[in-house]
Amino acid sequence: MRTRPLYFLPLALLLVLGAALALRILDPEAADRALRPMLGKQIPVLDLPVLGDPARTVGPQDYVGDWLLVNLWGSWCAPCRDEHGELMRVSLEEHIPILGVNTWDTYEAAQGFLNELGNPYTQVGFDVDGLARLELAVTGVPETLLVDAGGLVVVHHVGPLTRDLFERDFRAHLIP
Amino acid sequence: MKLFKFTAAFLLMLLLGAPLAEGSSIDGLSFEDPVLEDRYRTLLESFRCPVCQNTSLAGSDAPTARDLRQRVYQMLSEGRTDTEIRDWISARYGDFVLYSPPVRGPTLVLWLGPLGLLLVACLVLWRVLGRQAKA
Repeated sequence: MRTRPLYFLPLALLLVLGAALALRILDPEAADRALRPMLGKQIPVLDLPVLGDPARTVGPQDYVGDWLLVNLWGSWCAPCRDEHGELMRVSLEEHIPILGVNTWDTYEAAQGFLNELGNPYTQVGFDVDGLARLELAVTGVPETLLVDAGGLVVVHHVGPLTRDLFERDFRAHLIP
Repeated sequence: MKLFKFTAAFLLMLLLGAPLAEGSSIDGLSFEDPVLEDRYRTLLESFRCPVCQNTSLAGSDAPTARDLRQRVYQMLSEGRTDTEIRDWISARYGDFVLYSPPVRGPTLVLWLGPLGLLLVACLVLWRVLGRQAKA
């Protein structure tokens, strides 16, 4: 029996399918996108009571026209404590406002945390009913978003911020 | 006979225990209406927990999973459809959290790839068998 090229078609297709799936599975960028769902999306409008002044509300929409860092944190969260030094540095050295979103927390504990470690935030919104963390599609705290002047999320960082990570992922987007 | 009695007792225990397990609620949230309760549980099983990615939303202890369960519960109470709830979640956490991703774009390979493979294999088989019959 002669070998017919057609016999190899299923095998070839299987290889093509396998390659297509492998490319997606092995692509670190693709895996990354799945874990950073806010990337490339418009930041939602949020009306969060201001920590220390709950009669007023704050949200990312107040900063349209400026680049903005949105940092989600909780006073109970150890990695938030770890990244606090870097946030303090950013607040002093970088020319970008930081909107803190305090979540899974209480007013008192949040205020105590800032009194103890210093306040790097331009403003802090208090996520009363947990709506903000779902709107921002977080998987936990801390998470940090870099939002451009048009409200588009350019960086969605999961986990504590460090100087190295700031230089690697955020610096390129900022005006010196 | 002893074994028979033991087995019967064991089966009876399972039978009596089953409704208890069925009635237990997640986070203390459950619906009076069995239809809604059924939809609630089916929906939770159809989402991947965005935090513990090998667990469904129903089985995850992560705080975000609890948030999402409460949100699904609330939306069901408000009379939203399953599609609206799926859209709400995937608009935030992406197709990634849907155990059955929508048929579009890159997921077409997933849905149609194996089917195409089967078709081609059938075609080849058909031609081979046809040739052998002729020979």
